[in-house]
Amino acid sequence: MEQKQENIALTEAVYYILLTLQTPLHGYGIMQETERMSRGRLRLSAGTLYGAISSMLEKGWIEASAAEGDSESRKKEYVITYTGVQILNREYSRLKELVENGKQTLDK
Amino acid sequence: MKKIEKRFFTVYQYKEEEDWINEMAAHGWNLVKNGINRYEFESGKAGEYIYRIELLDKNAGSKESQQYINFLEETGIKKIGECNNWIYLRKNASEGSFEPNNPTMYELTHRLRVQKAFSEIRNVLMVILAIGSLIALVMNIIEYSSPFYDFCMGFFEGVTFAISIFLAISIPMFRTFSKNVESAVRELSLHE
Repeated sequence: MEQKQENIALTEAVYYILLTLQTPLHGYGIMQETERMSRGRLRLSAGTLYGAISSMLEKGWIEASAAEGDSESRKKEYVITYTGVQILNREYSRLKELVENGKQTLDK
Repeated sequence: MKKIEKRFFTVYQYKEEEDWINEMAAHGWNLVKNGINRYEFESGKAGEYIYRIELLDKNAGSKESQQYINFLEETGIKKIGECNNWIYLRKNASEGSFEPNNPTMYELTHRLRVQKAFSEIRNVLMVILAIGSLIALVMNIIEYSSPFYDFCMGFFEGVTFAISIFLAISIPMFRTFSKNVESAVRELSLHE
């Protein structure tokens, strides 16, 4: 089941979150970075982001990085894990395939 | 300037409640405090804030909910009130809307939570019904009579009867719940 789940397309929010987390960021940072990368198209809502972060922490795609200062500080930072990188690469190949096939068919 | 309004919305009218609060805000009345049917507004700039009511999985005071609320606050969303599992949120209108990235998924999650809350109430009622009917049945079989005994018997019969009627009435409501959930799932097969 788990294996199967991971072969399914990622949501756009999850894809962008994983992309932005190549360097540690806190929640608000992810939102800003996503908006910048998508040139203002994708504005992650706080609820969507929180849900995605919780699920990805559970699956081990990202981890809460030890923030500077006291570990109990409210602002948590997150960073992608090795599993997360694999998931992201698989999704990147899948997206390339989609675009490639779209090109072949539509750009004729 | 402050203004207090009394209104009552059922759990399932959360959208109407949210729309009403937002309409008040659009007219310059910002919600600052709320109770079950009591809403306290403060006058301010019209359209400065947008409000959202959200149903959480756990009580608003729980650790899990608190973590979520802290996260929201980091992103500029303020919690102005709560009522059991519901939280009342507001943000500056200039910072964009509350609109979730995946409205269908958001609706689905919300509907499932509302349904879960109702199912829990129904389960409790069913347990009371089972125990109540058993007691009433045993009391009927035992041949004994005294004013107090008869009163108790009547009480249990009354309670079980009321619960049965209530459960029967709630059947269409649960059907609507399932239908709503199904339509959201169908929608998800088309869009992310």
